[in-house]
Amino acid sequence: MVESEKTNTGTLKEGSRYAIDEICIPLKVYYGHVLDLVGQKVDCLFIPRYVSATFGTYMCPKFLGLPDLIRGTINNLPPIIEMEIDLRKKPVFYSMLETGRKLNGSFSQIKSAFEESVKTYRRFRVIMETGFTFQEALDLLGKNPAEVPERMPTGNPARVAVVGHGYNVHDPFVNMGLMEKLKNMKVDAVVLENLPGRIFRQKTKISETLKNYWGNEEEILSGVDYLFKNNLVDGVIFLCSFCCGPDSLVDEIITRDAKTRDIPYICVVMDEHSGQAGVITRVESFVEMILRRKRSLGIKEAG
Amino acid sequence: MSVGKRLVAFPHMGNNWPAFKSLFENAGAEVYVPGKNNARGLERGLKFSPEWVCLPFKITIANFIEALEKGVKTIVMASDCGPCRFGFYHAVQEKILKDLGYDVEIKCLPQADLLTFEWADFLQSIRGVRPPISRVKMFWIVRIFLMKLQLIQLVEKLEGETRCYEVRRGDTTRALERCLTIISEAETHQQLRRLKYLIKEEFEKVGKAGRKKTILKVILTGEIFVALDSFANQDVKKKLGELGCEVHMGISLYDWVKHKLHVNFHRKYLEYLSKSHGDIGGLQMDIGGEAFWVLGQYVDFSHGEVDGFVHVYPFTCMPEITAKSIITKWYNDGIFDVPPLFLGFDEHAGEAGLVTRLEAYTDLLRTKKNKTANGD
Repeated sequence: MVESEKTNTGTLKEGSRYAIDEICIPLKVYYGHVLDLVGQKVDCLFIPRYVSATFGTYMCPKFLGLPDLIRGTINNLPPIIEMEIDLRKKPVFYSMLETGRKLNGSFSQIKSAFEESVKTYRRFRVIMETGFTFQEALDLLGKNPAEVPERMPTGNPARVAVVGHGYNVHDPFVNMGLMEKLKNMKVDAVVLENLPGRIFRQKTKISETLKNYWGNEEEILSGVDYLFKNNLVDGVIFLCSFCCGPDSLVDEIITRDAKTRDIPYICVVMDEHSGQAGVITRVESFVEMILRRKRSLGIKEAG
Repeated sequence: MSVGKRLVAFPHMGNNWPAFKSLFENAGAEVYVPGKNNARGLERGLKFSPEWVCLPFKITIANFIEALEKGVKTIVMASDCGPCRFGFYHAVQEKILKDLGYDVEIKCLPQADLLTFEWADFLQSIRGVRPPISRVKMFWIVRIFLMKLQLIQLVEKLEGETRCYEVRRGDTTRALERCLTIISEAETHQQLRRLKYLIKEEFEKVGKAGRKKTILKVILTGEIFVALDSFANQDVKKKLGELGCEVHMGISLYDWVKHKLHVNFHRKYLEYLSKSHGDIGGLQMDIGGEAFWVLGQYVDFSHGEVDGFVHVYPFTCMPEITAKSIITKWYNDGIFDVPPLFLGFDEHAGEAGLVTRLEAYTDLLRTKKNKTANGD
């Protein structure tokens, strides 16, 4: 098994050459990774087709057509191993079985591999819920399989939630090292994976008549809802990619929610123009405002 | 407004308002039809819309604001269940309008699958406090609605095909307006049956001028709202017609409703075409919007006598962009040889840019056609 390199300028540059201009940055990055792998002369490419990751939801249309999109736009592709995950129709294990069969795995092999991966994922979630960052959790996962160390409180003055799709929040190249920057600014960053798993089980209601149907947005909406209701953070940063369809509406919903609850909120839009200064300034001033607000609130309470 | 009737409004989508008007009126509601989509309305809609949501959202919210100012309290909006953004429209719009201080109730017309008959409950609900509609009446209402949609489809088809032959500029548009008026005025089944011939006659009167230029055959397709609404697509159809193109509509609302009733076999065929080209990137499933069928159409028409393929969509539309990527590649690789033109629309209505692009496109098509005709 070969993995593509970590996202870098080359990935994005290559990807942008193949992808059409209007596509969102995560897809351009994805193109870059695929091209990287094609360049490494692999025998097969693994591209999942996520239709829905929880029952009764959909992913973004681009996920639905991802293998077709790649097949339709890149030349000289190796054969693609497609894994369709569609919980509207079939359980995950069935998809695994289909994929495993393509790799000539026996039933017991597939079963044990599936159980192994689920176990690893559960452990990862436990580590994340303890409050570690994504990178720390990945490192811990590799080390000692049995125990989860205690996390020391950092004693930072402010806590900010960084929400958004996983591929934006956890890719330091795409979000221009936002997490690192927040750390340097002495701000605790909370990501969606840090929140307890039980809050994601219920479906969010957008209005009386509509229940949310996007899987990714579900996480964001219920996470934000939980944060707002329990007053766990001092501010929320929403990372979204330019042209992201679902986010354009979800952003609107969260904005209005944040306004009524009086919680500072900022939406940072990212695209392939990696001018860091703009993002840094915006985030810095946002953090500065939060700190000031906290101070003034503290004074008020004391007085 | 008569006693007991509820005043409802619905957003415009192209020329389909007569059908919806009769549907809601027959169901027992008073209907307010907002004025035609226009730039001033859109500007107000923009003020309250999220920044980069797709164009239909902005246009429909402009319609709603106009209706609300006229005293309408109930608004009808179609709803969907994914995967594209459309299903979120009504909920977010309701939130926005309520935040603006309007006393509004948005009624959803569920159209995710018309065979679930949720729309029947909806039609009962817009009646207000009156006895429910009987099943026979319901059948009659829907039949009138479908007939009107079919006639509108015919009108749009004829409009596209006639404009390049018109003697006096603007005759086709005038004929279109007249036809829409008679469709909206017709009430019974018998009247509607006769209209078909009237409409055909109306367009035949526009006349055939002997044009010197070669007439091109162009398909206009894409996302349904933008493809049908002449304001949203900045009159692409008219502009193409005036540049000497026979415009064939790849889409209509009747087609869509038929699809949602699971009786549209033409779409099933298009799905098959898209699926069967899976090894070169044909979509394998419906990913929202019209992407699936647009791909099928592109394959379908590339075997026929078509000169051009115009694909319109709202800027940032997720499914259509996927289709666009794949079609672009197919054409560039020479797998199919119908030149596609992609037009993404948003609120920035620079008309000159569009006209230049269309002129260049038709010029290229004409050169290509003449070349093949001369056997070069």
